[in-house]
Amino acid sequence: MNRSLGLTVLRHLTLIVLLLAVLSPLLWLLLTAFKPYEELFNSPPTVMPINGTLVNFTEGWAIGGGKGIMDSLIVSSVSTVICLILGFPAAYALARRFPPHGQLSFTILSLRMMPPIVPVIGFYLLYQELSLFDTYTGLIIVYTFMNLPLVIWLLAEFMRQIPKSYEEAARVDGAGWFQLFRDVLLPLSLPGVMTAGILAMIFAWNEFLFSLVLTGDAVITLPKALASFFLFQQPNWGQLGAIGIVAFGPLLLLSYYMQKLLIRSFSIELGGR
Amino acid sequence: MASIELRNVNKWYGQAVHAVKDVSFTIEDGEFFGLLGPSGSGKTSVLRMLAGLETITEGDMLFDGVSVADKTPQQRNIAMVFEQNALYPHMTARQNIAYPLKIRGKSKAEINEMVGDVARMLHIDHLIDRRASQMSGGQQQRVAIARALVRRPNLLCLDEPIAHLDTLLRARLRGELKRLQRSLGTTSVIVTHDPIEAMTMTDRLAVMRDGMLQQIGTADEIHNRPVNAFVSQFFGLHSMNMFRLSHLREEAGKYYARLEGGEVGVPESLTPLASAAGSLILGCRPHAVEVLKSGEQAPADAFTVTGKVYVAEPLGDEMLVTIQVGDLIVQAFDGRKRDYAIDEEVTVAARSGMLYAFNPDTEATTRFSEGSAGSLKSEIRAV
Amino acid sequence: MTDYTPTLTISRPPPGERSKRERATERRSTMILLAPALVFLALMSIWPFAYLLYASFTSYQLAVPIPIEWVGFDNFTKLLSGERFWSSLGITAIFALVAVPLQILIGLGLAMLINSVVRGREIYASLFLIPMMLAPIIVGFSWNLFLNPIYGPLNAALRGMGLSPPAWAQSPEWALPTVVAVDIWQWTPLVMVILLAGLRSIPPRIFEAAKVDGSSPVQTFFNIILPMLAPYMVVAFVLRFIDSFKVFDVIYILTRGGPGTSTQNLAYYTYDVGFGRFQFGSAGALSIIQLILLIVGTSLILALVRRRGVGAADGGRS
Repeated sequence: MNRSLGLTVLRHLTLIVLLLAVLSPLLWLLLTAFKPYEELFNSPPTVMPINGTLVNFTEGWAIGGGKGIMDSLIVSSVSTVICLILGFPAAYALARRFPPHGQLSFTILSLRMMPPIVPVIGFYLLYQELSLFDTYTGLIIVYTFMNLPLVIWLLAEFMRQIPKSYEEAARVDGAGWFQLFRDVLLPLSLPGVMTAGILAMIFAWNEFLFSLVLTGDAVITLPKALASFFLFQQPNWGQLGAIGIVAFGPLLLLSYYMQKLLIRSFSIELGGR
Repeated sequence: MASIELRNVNKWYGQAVHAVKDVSFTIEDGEFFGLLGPSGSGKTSVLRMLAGLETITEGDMLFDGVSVADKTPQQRNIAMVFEQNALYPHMTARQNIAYPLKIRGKSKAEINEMVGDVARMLHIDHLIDRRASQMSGGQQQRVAIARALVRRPNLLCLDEPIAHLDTLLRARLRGELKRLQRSLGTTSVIVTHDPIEAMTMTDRLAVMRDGMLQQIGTADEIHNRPVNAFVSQFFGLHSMNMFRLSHLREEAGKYYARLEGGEVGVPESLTPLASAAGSLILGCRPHAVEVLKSGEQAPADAFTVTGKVYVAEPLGDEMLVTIQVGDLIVQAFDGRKRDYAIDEEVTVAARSGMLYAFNPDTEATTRFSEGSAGSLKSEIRAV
Repeated sequence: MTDYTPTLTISRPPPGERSKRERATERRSTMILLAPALVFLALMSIWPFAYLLYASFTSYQLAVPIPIEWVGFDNFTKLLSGERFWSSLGITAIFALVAVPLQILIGLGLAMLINSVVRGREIYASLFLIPMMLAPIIVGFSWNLFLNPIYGPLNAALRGMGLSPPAWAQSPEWALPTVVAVDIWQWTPLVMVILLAGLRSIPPRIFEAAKVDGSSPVQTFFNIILPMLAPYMVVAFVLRFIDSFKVFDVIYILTRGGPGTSTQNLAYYTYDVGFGRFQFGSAGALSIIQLILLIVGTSLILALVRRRGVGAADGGRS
């Protein structure tokens, strides 16, 4: 009894120490956000802010963090909405009219596996031609292209779990296609729509390479804004940290939801066969 | 409400599966009709074609003399209750019942009145604002029935509507559905694999097997005069005992035949029904036989088989005795409720008048039992 | 009731206009539902790819105002005979073949440790997942600051212990191990959750049965846990292998491919050729080579997996 209790304590201790070690670079950035400029380059560095300040947050917003957040919000939310609008009917067709692991789902999903560096040059040349370079539209198209395969695949997996009898009931009740989608399928697949939407949003929000290459001075997403501050020799780490916390901190709240989702979907995908 | 006619209806799934083969029958206006059969018999396909959820590959279907083969479920004005997942889970009972009316563009006041009426009729007033997840299975099915009835359909399709409920609830809903159908007079078709449901609820029923219609009639007709060995074994609370006899021979005015490696006596009156090769199938229901312990005398002109008691189960007033004869299982009810030891040797005796006979090649019935008029009632009482 | 299996008659094909019409209607509705998404995806894969393909066979350069010429396979042959291509291929290979196995090893340990505690499993899993949830750009920043040789906390601590630590990302010897380590840090969490899903799928009864049979913990690990996790490990490997071609952001922030070309993988090399020197012909050829490598590599792995028959690994994922 005593021995197993000791073992449990030891395990928890190991996990906590590991966790602190793993997260230390992030914790350091977090602390840095509250340090005034003079403290940033102390050598040896001080762990806690001596004269804690919030000035980095206001300055960070003013020097481009604000624009970055706005632009990222526009691009990622619009592309996510388009993904869901295009993806929902396609996912329905895929779920109901095609076998679960068929050629079509495989082809669609394999688009998602392509490294972004492969299409980016083609997109750059095409956008020069179409005057889509450095536009919201251009970036929205790329992010839709990047996320649509995953959205279709996730929604189709979700819809396969919905019993067909609901649709048949709706047909018997006299519902047409539009009513079937609006009154029955959409409400029933709402959790799946939320999941796919959140993932598409996160991926677009975090994306760097496309925004680096396909935009100039008009559209500056957050990752690109942050990267551009960094070009200075001695970057203002406090401001970087502050923007980072505001812009990416909220995503960490989704981490609980994410691990549940991932564990569940991998169990379903691999466990049931 | 409508009368319904199927003319040589066929259903193919893809190129290979012929699920329904040349099925024709008529359902009278206001009738409660049953489609009975084991799984894979095509009964559900027939129902789904009636509902308009599947197209009819070949043949025609008429509602009140008008072909509906190319009409949608809505155009046919049918309603359906599904086996499971019948209610939209994101809607309350009220919204569920109102949905078909909403689609038909009825006014709010009208919808409210109709929903209220049907809810009172099915005693679900108190559940009306609950969602499916807040209701028991029986309550959900009741709401589903209400949703089906609220639009006053020409035809009510019931796809095993109570099959997954527990026994007590099933018995209660059986009665309720029958009563409701009688009072509304809605033409209804129920699909079921459960002979009790088919017997108790329907006016007439059709027994199907392998996509083919076997027999249509009232429960009594099918029970007492089954057209073949399959129907007689499938229909009834307890499967009919079947004896496949061969090598029929005569010896000193008595007749004997081979069964499961042994030899049994065959009543003379049945011998003309045997095939030229001396084969014959006999059948008798468990209630139509007597169990004789060793030393007891079998009645004259009885068919007798001797075997060992596999198990004896007391069922209220009676004892259900299962007897093993070689690889054959024979079931018999003993009204005297005597005790039986396992592996005790007993003899099963059936008076020749109680026996059915079947053609050994086609399995079609060649002789019906005489004394079977009252047996359906006694069987239902036994359950 | 008799038990019998329904026979499926296989004979003439179904006649009748009605079934033909039904199938036509169904096909039409399927097309209407799929069309918007598929047309978009097809357009956005083919159109830019056409430009890419075109560029890769020409002398397309943005910086130099020379006329664009058809050069055939010149771009490809020049690349393949250049040293930089092979060194960046080597670095991509290190990410795929060194970082990924290490991620699986560490991820396995972490998953087993988390699975061994009863309370707080989900909390630990969520917290360990954080590196993967973050934007790669933030990962790059945090590590850049953390590893800064002058004012970074790690080297300050090491100096305090009397060591003389290297300049990590800025040192020619340590830059590559550093970016590989950051990649491991960032993506081990994904492997961890996949393996946690695998561990959760092992019914506890199996462990009890093993205990009753007198199996030691080591035997249980090798005879039960590892075989049952195998399909999950294969999936993790395939996913991470494919993703290892994507590594770019962290290199961009941490080392810019340097010092020299010591941390320049294929993706960064392509970016540098295309958008550093605006040689779109070469960059296009590089992109196509990468695509081919990825397809060949993934097919090889999947074929190997299928041959070995490791569980359901070739399923819908990948």
